Formats: sequence, structure tokens, C-alpha cells
Amino acid sequence: MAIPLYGFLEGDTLGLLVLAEEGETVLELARKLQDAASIRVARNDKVDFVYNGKAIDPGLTVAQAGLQALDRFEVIGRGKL
Amino acid sequence: MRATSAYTYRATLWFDFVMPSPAERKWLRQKYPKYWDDMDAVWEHVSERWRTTGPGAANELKVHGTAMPTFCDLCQLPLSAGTPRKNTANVLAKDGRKYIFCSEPCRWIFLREPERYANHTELVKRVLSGEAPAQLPELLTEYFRLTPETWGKDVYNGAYDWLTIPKASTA
Repeated sequence: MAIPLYGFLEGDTLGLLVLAEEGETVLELARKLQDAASIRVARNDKVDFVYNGKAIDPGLTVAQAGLQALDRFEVIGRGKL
Repeated sequence: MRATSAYTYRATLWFDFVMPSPAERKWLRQKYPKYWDDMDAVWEHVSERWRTTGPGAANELKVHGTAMPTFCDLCQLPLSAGTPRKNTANVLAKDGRKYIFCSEPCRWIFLREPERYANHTELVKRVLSGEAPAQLPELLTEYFRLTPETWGKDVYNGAYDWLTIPKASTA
């Protein structure tokens, strides 16, 4: 079941709704947000996924990272946290 | 933040937009030296999209956001406060529900009178509940009652002289 999340990409000017799947990795989710924001922000292949103020292992799934409906996450340039 | 966001979602509004020219962006850089570089990168990226697609009314929606934008549970405006480096949107879990606010002031106002605002659902929650369509074309036409004749566009449909001039000459 899709999980609606609020995604914020560094360099963008507004948050976007992203529908995540429990089994997808947070890196895949980060790419999904980048694609959604591609009208405004150039693609950056080196990013960190930030949830609750911490960088999350990109290989963790959405469920493993503990993301729940209507949570907020950020995607920022790698090492900027 | 809001001008750039609105430009890339102009079809959700009922008025037209103009992109800032290189000369106007230069002026804005002088006025806002701390923040303008981040904003300018966004305008440059949007400009590049027009360069790629070419001007014309038929290309309006190719230079437009497609993902669902998000909105503040208090002021109902898009979550576009702060800067491109740090959006100030913040989530509040209260009484078994989650709320999101564009800024600390909106959160503060909500917490003064939560009972007044708790049931004011913003657009995302209306989409998630099925009250509003999830796809942008249907959202525009069926829910906002906009039409291609009435929704917002780029005033010049991307036909700016400066877009055809090599970038080095426009800086």
C-alpha cells in the first residue's frame, strides 16, 4: 500500500507529495522526489536521505527506516547534514 | 520561493506569469546577495527547460510541475517558506492526527486554537480522502473548475528574446 509522504529536496522551493512503497529503498524514494522536482532542480547523484534529523542508510527500505504516512523527509547533498 | 513555485504550478492559478529576465535577476542578486544564488539556480533550470522544449502554447505544460504540491494545514498556502537550502515546513502529531505547517508562526497560531483549525483539511488531505482528484489535469478542471482558457500561463509562452541569446551574453 502506498504511503503518502512530504518530500523536501534541497534546492527546491516547495515540498512535494511523494507516494512511497514499504519495500522500496530510501535511495529509490530520494530519486522519486528528484524526478518530481526536476522542473526546478537539476539532478544530483550524490545525496543523503534525511529523516527525523538523521541521514538514513540508502539501502534501508521505507518500512525499515520507520517512515509513516504524512511524515516529512529531506533529500540533501551528500555530507551536508 | 513562492514566485518560483507558483510559476511552475501556474496552471493551478487564474493569472499569468512572467519569468525574470537576466537583467532582473542581476538586480535581484544585488538586492538579496545572501539568498539569490539558490533562487537563481531554480530560474536558470526552468529557463533551460524552455530552451529545450522551445516556446509556444503547446509546450506550456512541458514547463510545468507535474507532482502534487503540498500545503500548510494552517494558512493553506504551499509549503514554500524558508529558503531552497532549508524549507521550514514542520510536522505536528496531535490527538492521533498529523498536521504540517509551512513555518513556526503557522504552527504557533494552530496551537493557540487547535479546535478552530483541526478540521480545515488542506488540498493533499482532500486528495488522499478521495474528495479531490489526484491527477493534475482532473484536479484543475474538475475540482478547481479551471480550463485551458482560464488557467495561468507564461505571458509569452516561453518566447523570450533572452532565451535565444547565448547565456554568456546575457549575464
